[in-house]
Amino acid sequence: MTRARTNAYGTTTLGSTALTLGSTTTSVSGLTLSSPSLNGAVFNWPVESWYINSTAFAGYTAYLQTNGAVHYLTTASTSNGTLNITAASGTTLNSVMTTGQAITFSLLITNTTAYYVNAYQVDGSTSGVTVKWSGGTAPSAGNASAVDIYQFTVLKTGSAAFTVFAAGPIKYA
Amino acid sequence: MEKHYVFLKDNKVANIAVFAEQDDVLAQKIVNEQGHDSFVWINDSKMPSPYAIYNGTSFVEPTEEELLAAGLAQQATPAE
Repeated sequence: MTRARTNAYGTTTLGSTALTLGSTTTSVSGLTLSSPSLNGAVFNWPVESWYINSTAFAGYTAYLQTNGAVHYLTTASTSNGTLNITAASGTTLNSVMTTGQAITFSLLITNTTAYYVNAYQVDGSTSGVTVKWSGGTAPSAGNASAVDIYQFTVLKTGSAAFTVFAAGPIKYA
Repeated sequence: MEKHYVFLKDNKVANIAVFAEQDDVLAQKIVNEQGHDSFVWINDSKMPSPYAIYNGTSFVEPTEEELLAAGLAQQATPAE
């Protein structure tokens, strides 16, 4: 069993992590929290990493656990294609989410020609995936000479069952 | 050009997934979680039709009878 220990100098070790106890602040370094559940947490200035990928869109697999929730494809798209949303190499989104959880994801694709995302998968499947579009209609084209941004809110509604609320492509030029 | 995995059930195409790169570990997880039997990486080759039969090396397009049985085709009704 791992216990918290405090030595004679007032330094506390929690597991293998040393805590430096100051008069007004406590700093913790090198602490990894795996799957923490934070209730009502306040992030004063959250910063999110985004993932830049020089791949041209022609169909794309998004690893959200590996690469975060903002993916920017910087080379001009070469065709319409399918977006497959999953967690990581060897890990499905279905296995890391429980029913009742949601994840949001933004896809930025660079367009010269007005290509667009014309099909949607979660964990490689359209079965069990319901896509609902902002405005009620799925897009039928992208925007030329622009960065097109799509935004998705993926709700897990059951085992290998997802509802995807989708918006875009919104033209940024 | 899109790259794909084909997922098989009873040696027939049950699902086709787009992948950026070959990822057999994730493909096997999808097989396990979605009840398929196996997967085939076809890279950017032409996608087979749903219910095409995989003979171990290539995909054989389904016959009209097989599509009718699967509910993917409708029998032509005679004109009145």
